[in-house]
Parts: sequence; structure tokens; C-alpha cells
Amino acid sequence: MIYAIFIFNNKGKPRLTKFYTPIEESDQQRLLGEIYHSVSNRTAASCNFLESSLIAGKNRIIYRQYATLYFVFVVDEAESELGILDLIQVFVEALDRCFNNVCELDLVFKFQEIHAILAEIVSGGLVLETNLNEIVAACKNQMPKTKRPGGLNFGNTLSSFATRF
Amino acid sequence: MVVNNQMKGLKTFISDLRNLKEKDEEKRVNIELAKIRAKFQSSTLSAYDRKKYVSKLLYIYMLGYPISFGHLEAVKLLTAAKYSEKQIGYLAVALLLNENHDLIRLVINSIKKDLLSLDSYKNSIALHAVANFGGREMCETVYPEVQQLLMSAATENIVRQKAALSLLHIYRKFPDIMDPDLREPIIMLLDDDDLNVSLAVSTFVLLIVCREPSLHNLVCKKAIHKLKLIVSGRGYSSDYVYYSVPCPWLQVNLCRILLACHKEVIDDSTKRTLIHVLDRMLSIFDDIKETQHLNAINAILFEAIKLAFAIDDSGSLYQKCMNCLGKMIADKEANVRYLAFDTTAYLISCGHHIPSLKTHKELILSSLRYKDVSLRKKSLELLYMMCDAENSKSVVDDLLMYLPYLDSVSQEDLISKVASLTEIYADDYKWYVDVNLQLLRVAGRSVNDDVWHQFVRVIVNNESTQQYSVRRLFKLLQSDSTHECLVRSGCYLLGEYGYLIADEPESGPLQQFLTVYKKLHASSTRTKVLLLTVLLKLSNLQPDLQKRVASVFKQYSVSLNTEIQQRACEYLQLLSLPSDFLSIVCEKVPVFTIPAKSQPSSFISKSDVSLTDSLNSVKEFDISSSLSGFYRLCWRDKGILYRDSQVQVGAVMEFHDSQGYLSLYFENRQKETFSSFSATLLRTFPNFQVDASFTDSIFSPDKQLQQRFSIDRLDGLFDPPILRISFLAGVMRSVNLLLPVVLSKFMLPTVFDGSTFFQRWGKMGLEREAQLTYGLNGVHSKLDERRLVKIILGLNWGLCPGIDMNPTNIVGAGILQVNAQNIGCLLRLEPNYQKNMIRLSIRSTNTTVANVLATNMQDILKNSFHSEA
Repeated sequence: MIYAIFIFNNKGKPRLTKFYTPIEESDQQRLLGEIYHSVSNRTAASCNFLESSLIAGKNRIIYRQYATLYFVFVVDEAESELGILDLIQVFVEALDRCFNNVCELDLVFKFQEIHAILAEIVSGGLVLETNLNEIVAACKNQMPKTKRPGGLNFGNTLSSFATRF
Repeated sequence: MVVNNQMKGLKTFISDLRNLKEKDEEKRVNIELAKIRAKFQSSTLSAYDRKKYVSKLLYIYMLGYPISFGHLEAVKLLTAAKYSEKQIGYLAVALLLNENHDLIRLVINSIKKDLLSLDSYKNSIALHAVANFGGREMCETVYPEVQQLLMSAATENIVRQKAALSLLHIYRKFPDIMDPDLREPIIMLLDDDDLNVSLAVSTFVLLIVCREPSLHNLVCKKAIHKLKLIVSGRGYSSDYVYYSVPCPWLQVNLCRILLACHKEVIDDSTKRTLIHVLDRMLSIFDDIKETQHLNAINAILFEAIKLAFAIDDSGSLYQKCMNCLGKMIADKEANVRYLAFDTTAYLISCGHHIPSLKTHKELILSSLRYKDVSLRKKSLELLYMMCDAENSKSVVDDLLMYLPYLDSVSQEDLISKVASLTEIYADDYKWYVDVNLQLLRVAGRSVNDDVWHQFVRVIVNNESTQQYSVRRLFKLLQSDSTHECLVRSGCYLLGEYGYLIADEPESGPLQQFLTVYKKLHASSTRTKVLLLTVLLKLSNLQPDLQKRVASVFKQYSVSLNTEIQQRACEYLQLLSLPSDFLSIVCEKVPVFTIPAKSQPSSFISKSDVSLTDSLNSVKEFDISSSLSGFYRLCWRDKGILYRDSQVQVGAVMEFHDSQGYLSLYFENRQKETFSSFSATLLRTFPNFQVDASFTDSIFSPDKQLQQRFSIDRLDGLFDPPILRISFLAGVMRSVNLLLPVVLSKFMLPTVFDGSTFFQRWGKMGLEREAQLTYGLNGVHSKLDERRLVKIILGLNWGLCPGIDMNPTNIVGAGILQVNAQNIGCLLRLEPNYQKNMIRLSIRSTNTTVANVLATNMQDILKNSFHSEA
């Protein structure tokens, strides 16, 4: 199962934190710091997996970097590493479709919506839906269609990086 | 989209924060928190405002600031009419409340209401909440609704998926809540046409399989069927194709389910089907360039390989798996290589033999020097797993070669792995000692305490290694730059076994002392303390050193560190006490009983208790002082067991068949009273126990203390019990007594005539004979016929005179009752009075008994003819 999901940028600023197992509030920030530290120090040629014992004994950290953002999943033995990597890809593609060229600022200003999209993909720490069309449809159907706010200069979109992996 | 765009206040707040410097952020957050708190206290808060402020709280919370209020507002949002408001409410509740929160009852009620709603969005969001943070109370309350949503045909698929995961959460955390009859219908859902219902259910089934072996058969059939459909390209919509691979997550899960219950794949047709499916899965490995596609393919391949090995590790699939694994191990992509290492190590741990791995050894070794710490760790694990009796030495050599080039974390890892490998595969002690010393020498900084503790333990427990390792360590200690681990283990062993090399050139007592002394100054407190003890031990074994050692203690007795000071003072005091007291304190360390980490190999065998071991070779306890009394009482039923200037211990015994009594009488030979007198059994055997014992620990001169032991039934062989008496006579004194309870005590003397004797003697034959030839202990001992006969009679042999051709030979017989069985024993003893030699032959219907009787008798006879006796 997935214990926790983090999105943070390359300076360690959290953009999303989600725990599927109860963690003390004081430990949550510490965890984030430790994970940021161990993940951000890795080179591009390194593999995307790390063994750790940060949550509930032995577990693994599986992460992917898109542009300025790290997407990090902390999972137990029962998850396939590559399966989780694929899931991160699905998550990013879903964000991309919902926000039409998603970038870090979307995550900052619409953090509630990110949670809603994630809820369509992972529930209770387990993979819920992997079909992009379904995910996007579910998210869009739930609420009235909104327009992209003008005035903000979005650059550096994630989608251009999504194909790097 | 999710949230109404009008929440302008939130946007402004976020923008504000972004424009501030790090240190001003907290100030701004506190201002905002105060503002929100004030708003919440006002009675006229609109739902829209509530949503906006709770959203702000969530953002602040995510930044890492604690949120201590607003929980009630979040709960109120759960019942809001607008979906977007409800959504923020659920999000806030999930983040801010835990399952023990006071408000959780309100939350449960809202969730129940939403589950009963006909609106599938409300169902979904409530199910999501149950799956994410359902505690016992919530799960119990909502279980019927969740189950209803999963099983009802009227429910939309997207809701059913969520219901499956919510139910799984309940089953995972509180299995007793779920109706056991529901498990089979859930397994049936694996077949669902909707691939994602199937995916959600597959996670569920994985847990069922772990908990319920009885359902394996059913699960197995369903899973193979589903896997076959997917692999053959049928039964799914194109929506579920992820980069040309049909739902890789489901395929992975199905493989894992099958791996968990593969033992059920017994009938040939199922097995053939599965092999066929796996064959197809393993064949898709082609030249794929696209990363996502390759990822998905590999995710499935690794699972397929594991499953293929479990099903059939020699057949047609084997070669395919080997090729795949080989390619993946050599893959340039770090992820693939990492997982290939992981999978291979897993396969070896399952007992599969992978011969082609040898060709990749260099490659795996070279991965030890990668920058990527995960990959280094995995390659080390794999090398560790690859090790077997055959290649252990070469792998250890290779690992040692890499040792100096690694960072300290990897070094530590490698060292503990190498240390445990040497222990598992050591077949000669030199190799074991050499490798471990090399670890301590080259990478002492990274050696953790476990490693050198275990090394010392192994040396202490194996006599054959002691001299060699002390000699090697002593040489290494001569160097000026030695790491503390080496100093600690080296000096510790020097203190124990330094005397073994004291006669060798340049390693005499004085050099040993100087070596330890030199290390003392530069060491840390922990090491210093240990070194002081070592000096004490050295001075015990080499009395010449006492003056020097005392001056060192004096020097440290004014140390500012209290631990060092206390030790130095105490040790100094010890040196001034009578020397036999020091030798008690510095007794040789006993063999460690802490189990070795892994099964020891040939040379590291437990001190083998062979039956030819003599009685007095009790390694754990020093019983030497009571031995002379013990030998005498072996053939007498009454007498003095032990006597010194302070105490005397007398014994009276009575034995019939397999029962017996032993009474001990303790007497104080001094004029003053001893206190804290106690007598406890250090070693005993089944059925031998204390019957009655003195209750007073005050031992006055006019008093006799008694202790009575009994044995009600002899049901096996045994070692003589050991009793420890201790008391305070100014200083603490203790003596270990070996109690004269030996096998021959239980023997019934028997007399045979010549023909019966030889008939039985011949029948038992040579293979049941124990024969020993030996001389007497002590230069002044003289074998004497009258005493010899007396002892033999005392050992309960019935003498059969005139049977042997040689009249000086003594022939006897006896019967032992062990475990309600009679065991016949025959004795022939050929004394040589001129040479003070004895040849002893004992035959018995039980060979082990013959051996025990013979060795006991040898010990007793050897030590019973001292001239003064």
C-alpha cells in the first residue's frame, strides 16, 4: 500500500502532502524534510528508488522529477516499483489534461483541486483508477467547468518534461 | 473546476505569502490565523466564507504550521449543500482530524448520510473518507452501506471501485467486522468486465490470499483465467491500455496473487495454461525505445519471472527467464538494473539456483562503486546472496578489495555482511581471523560494535583460534595508528589470552603491558575503561607486572572522569587484597551462551561434549577445589566433600535402584558468624532437586546448616550437579562444589559364575566395549590392590572372583535401572602394579552407558591413589 504522497519543488517547498497512514503532525514535517534531503541529492542517472525506514518500518521511496517538481510516493513491499512509477506518470498526465499544460503555479493556487484529482487515482493508499479518460471525466463532471484564470504567466510546464522518462 | 474561482481572498493570501521572504512568512501566517479565528467566532459566517477560511487553514497547514482550531468549521462543511463546499470539508477533515478526535462522531454521521444518498458523487467522496481514515467506530457504523454499494448491480462502476477499496480498508484494519461469507463473492468480482473494478478487487484478493489459504484454489482459477484473457488481448477496452500495454497494474497484481497461491497449481491442465500465458508474457521483450512503454513492460516482466520460477524452475520457461534476467542485469538503465538485482536476490533467497549469475559477477562488483546509493546497496545484497560454500572465499576477497574505496555508510554495510559471511563459511580458523582483522584494520572507523563483539565472542568460544588471533592482534597493536575497535578487541583478547604468547619473542609480559599502556593515553573514555580492566587481568596472570599496573591505576585514580576514576580506585584496592581473591575476580571468561548469528560451520562447533570428556572438564565453572572430596565420595556414601579454613561440607548419600537422597551438612569452622550464606545449584539434571534447605542465611559457628536433595527416578544420562555456596566473611567468598552423584551410584551389584559371565561378555561383543588404558595422576601415587578392590566395590560392582585366567585381574558385574529399563554392565580391570597402570574394559547392553561408566571410573581411579591417601 501507499503510505504517503508528497509533491515538493526543488527547494523543498511542499505543494501537496497526503498520508494514508496516521502520522503525528510533528513527524509529518520532519519526514518531508528527510525525504527532500535524500531525494534531491540524487543525480539524474540514479535509479528512482530508495529504501528507507521512515514510515512503519521498512518501506521504499519511489520518486520522479518533472521540471521543478518532485513527485514522491512512500510505499510498502506489496507495491511494484515500476507500477508506482507508471502511476506517477498517470497522475501527472491527468493534472496536465485538467489544467491544460500544468505547471508548479497551478499546484500552488489550486491545491484543493490537486487533492481531488489524486482522490480519483489513489484511495486509502491503494490504486483506484488508472484510466486517464475516466480520471479526467470524473474530475470534470464533479464541478462546473472553470476557465483558466488570466493574468498569471505560466511557463515551464510539466508536460514538456513528462516525456523525459 | 473543483473550487469556485471566486475565492479571491485565498488567492491573494497565497500570492502574498509567495512574495514574502522566508522569515516574514511566519508573521503573515500568524496575522491571518488571528483573522480567521475572529471570523469563526462571529455568528454570521456564510457557507462560502467558511469554505474560504478553511481553505486558507489547509494551505497554512500544508506549509507546516500547526492548526489548533477550525475543526468544527470543517465538520460543518461536510453537510453543506454545495458540492464544492462539501469537498473542502472532506479534505479538511481528512487532513486535520484523526480517528480519536472528539468530533469524529459528527463526521461519521455525515459520512453515513452521504453513503445512503442516491448521488454517486456523494457516495464517492464518503467512500474515499472511509478508505482514508476510517477508525473502528466509523468502520463498524458504515460497513453495511459500503458492502451494499459494492455488491449492488445498480451501483455505477466508479462507485463500486471505491467501495471495494473502502471495504478493503475495513478488512485490513478490522477483519472481524467483515462478514466471512463475503470473501467468495469478492473473489468472483475479479472477473468483472470493468477492468478497474477488477484492479480494485485484485488488491483485496491479494490480502485474502495472505489470510485465507482455504480459498487459494478458487482464487487461483479466477486469476489465471483473467490473466489469460488480458494477455491474449481480449476482455478490455482500449481505455485501459497504458502506452500499448493493457492495464499493467492489474497484470502485476494477478501475478502476485498467483505467486502467493502457486502451490495450488497442481493439475496439469491449469499448469499448462499458466505456463502458456507466462510464455507469452516473457516473449514481449523486444527492442522498445519508448520509456513509458518499457517501464510498463518491465513491471510485468519482473513479476512474470518470479512466478515462472515458482511454477516451474527447470522447464521450458527457465531459459527465457534466464535470458531476460541476464539482459536486465546488464541493462544501462539504473531502474532496470536495480530491479534485476532485487529480483535475482529474491530468487536466490527462494532457493533457486542461477548459474549464469557467475558471468555477471564483475558487473555486479563494479556496481559497488556507483554514485547511486540504492544501487550500491542492492549489488551488495546480491553478492551476499550469491555466496555459497564454494565461492565464499573469492567473493569475500573481492568485497575486501572494494572496501577501502567505499563511503562510510556502504563500508559499514559491507563489513557486517563480510563478517557474517566469514562466520557462516569459515572452514579454517586462520581465514576467519585474517578476514576479520583486515576489516578492523582497513575500515575500523566504519566497524560497528556488533561486529567486533561477535568477533571476540567467536574467539572466546573457540579455543583453537585463541593463540593465533592473539598473536596477530598483538602485532597489529604495535602500530601507532590503530582504530579504537581494533584496540578494544585486541586488548580485550590480550587480557584473556595474552599468556598464550607470553613465551614468544618480543611478546613477553612486559611488552604486553607496554603495548596496552601506550594505547591508554590516546583512547576515548570507553576504551580507557576497558583497557584498565585488561591491565588488571594482565597483572593477575603475570604477578611481576603488579607494581607497574598499580602505578598506572594510581595515575588514573585522580582522573576527572568519574567512571575512569572509580575503576582505577577499585582495581587498585583489588591489587592490595590477597592474590587468590584477585584470581577469582579475574577468572577466565566463560564460553558465551549468546547464540551465534548464523549457524556455525565446522570449526566453530560448540565445545563438543564427547563422552570421553573427563568429569572434571567442566569448562563453565571452576570446581577444582572440591574434586578430591568428590572422587572419594564417588565410591563412599559418607564423608567430607569439601573443607578449608572457614567451612566444611559433609555429605551422606543413599541410593537404591533409580532413586536416591543426598544430604549436605555445612559447618562454620571459624569463631565469627558469616552472613548471607547461600547454596544454589548451578547445574542440575531432570528429577534431581532440592528437597529441603536451611532457611537462615546467618551462619554462626555453633550451627550446622543442612540441605537435602533427592532424585526420584533416573531417566537418562546426566552430568554431576554443581552447587555454589557463597557467604560473607569480611569479603564475599564462594566455592563451587561438584556433587558426587554419578551413574555408578545407581548400580546394583551382581555376581555371575564363569560361564554366564563369558556368555554375556561375548554376546555384548567388542562394539559395545569401552576400553581405556591409563596411568595414575601424581608422581607419588602407588597402585595398591586392597584399596583398588575397595573402590571397585564402592562403585557398586559385584566381584566375580576366580573367573579370569589371570588372578590379578578383577572381574565384576552390575545392573543399572535407567528409565525403567535394566541395563547390564560387565567389568574387566587389568592392573599392572609395577608400572602403576590400569587397563579398563567395560561392556554393556548400552554402549553410551559403557562409555560413561568407563570414563567416570578412569577419573576416579586416576585420582584415588595419592600416597597420603
